[in-house]
Amino acid sequence: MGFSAGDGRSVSEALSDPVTDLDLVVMNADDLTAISEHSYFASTAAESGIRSALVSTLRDDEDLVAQIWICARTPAEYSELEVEFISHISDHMKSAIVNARNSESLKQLQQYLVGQNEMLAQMQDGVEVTEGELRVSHEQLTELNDSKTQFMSEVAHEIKSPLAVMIGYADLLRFDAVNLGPEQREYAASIEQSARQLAVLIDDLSDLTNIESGHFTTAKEPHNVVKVIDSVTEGLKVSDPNIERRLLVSDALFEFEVEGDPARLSQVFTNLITNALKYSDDDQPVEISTIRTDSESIRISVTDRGLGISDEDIDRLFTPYFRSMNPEAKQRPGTGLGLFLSKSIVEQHGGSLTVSSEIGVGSTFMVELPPYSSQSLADVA
Amino acid sequence: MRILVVDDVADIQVLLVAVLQRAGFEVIEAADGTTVESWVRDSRPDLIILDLMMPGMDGWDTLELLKSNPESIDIPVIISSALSEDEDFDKAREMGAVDYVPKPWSADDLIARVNKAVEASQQAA
Repeated sequence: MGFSAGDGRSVSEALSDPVTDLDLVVMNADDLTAISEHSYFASTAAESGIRSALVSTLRDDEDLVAQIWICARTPAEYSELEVEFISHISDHMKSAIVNARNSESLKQLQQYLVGQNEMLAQMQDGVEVTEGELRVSHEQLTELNDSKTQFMSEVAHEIKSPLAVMIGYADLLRFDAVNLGPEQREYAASIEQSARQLAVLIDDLSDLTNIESGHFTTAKEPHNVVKVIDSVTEGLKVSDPNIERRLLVSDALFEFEVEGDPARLSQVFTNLITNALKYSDDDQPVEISTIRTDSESIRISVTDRGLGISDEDIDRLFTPYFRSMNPEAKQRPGTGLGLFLSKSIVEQHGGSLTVSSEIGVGSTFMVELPPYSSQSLADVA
Repeated sequence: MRILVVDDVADIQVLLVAVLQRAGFEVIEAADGTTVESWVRDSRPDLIILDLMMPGMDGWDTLELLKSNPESIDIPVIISSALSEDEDFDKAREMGAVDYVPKPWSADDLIARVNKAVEASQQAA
């Protein structure tokens, strides 16, 4: 008896064909010889005198898992019982082999996953380290920032003491001017001027440091900004009779309520007016006007007929430490901080600082500030 | 009119004396906060000009002492200091100082403020 592939194929085809249904094939000597070409085992069997074989092919889906050859040196006939037995064993073997294989794959998969896991854990550590480093850097930067502000305010304080001495004595010399020769009076005036410049520089640098570190304080109270402007102009006039001649106030409002810091706004107007005086000649006027705009804001204009500002300079005018390369402008002392600070203050007050200028003709700086509205307070109450 | 000036920096003391004397005031000097009490008791000044940053007993402590002592509480105190933050102005006012002249001040300004404070205290008296 024998089994065939059932679909008309020869034994050899069946043996090497992975898609055969039939797992069990019985072969005689002739069959063996016939498939020797295709099957190494078959040729070996034939050569060693095998006359019959029972071959069980184990497949897992389409994979050839194993083949079991039961061989005899005599032409054999296998009983149904024997075939059943072999078939049974084959099934078990197949299961065992397939399981082993799967477990092998499982093990590999497991190892792979463990590996991935370890990688992820390492990446996580890496991220945490970076996070930690960033946090430390941030803390260090904040500390550095604070100590820069601290340092600046200590330095400013230390410098102001000897400055006070210089300015005070220069003042005294001015009081005693009658007892001094004209040269001595000039020397004293020079000393005072330089000392005052230094004082302004120190204050500006302190302000700059505070702005950069976020410690810049401004009060917030409603007040009459026209009064602030008046104080500034009066103060300047009193300090120098020539300035009194040069400062012209036109189109003045009597009052305009804004919300903010009168001291800081005073800083702004002082800066703009002293700039106008500085960058124009001693005999040229500086005009200050205050008007109410269409949008109910106040516009304060400071106009000079002095050097004027070039187009390229205008772009960088309000940046810190900016000084024009124009030799006429460079000649006059300045820190390059005033306009930057003024703009910052004005903007903090919800306003704007702009300029229009022409080289050789003059400049007009305009501050616009919104009105104080008690509306906002009413809403809160 | 007698003014007590308190500042640890000798140069500033000399300057203050010169400026105030020139304006017609009599001046007594204290170099730190600890001697202020005895000066007040012995010399009875009409006004005190007080620096803030002094070693040992600083201006704040001195001001507090002055304002808690019935003998000195009514003497007007003007702070003269290089500290010039808004919080310093506020603190000085809260503690009872009548004015604050930030250094560097001009002599004119200082004298103007001294006169103002003296006038105010005389009116109150």
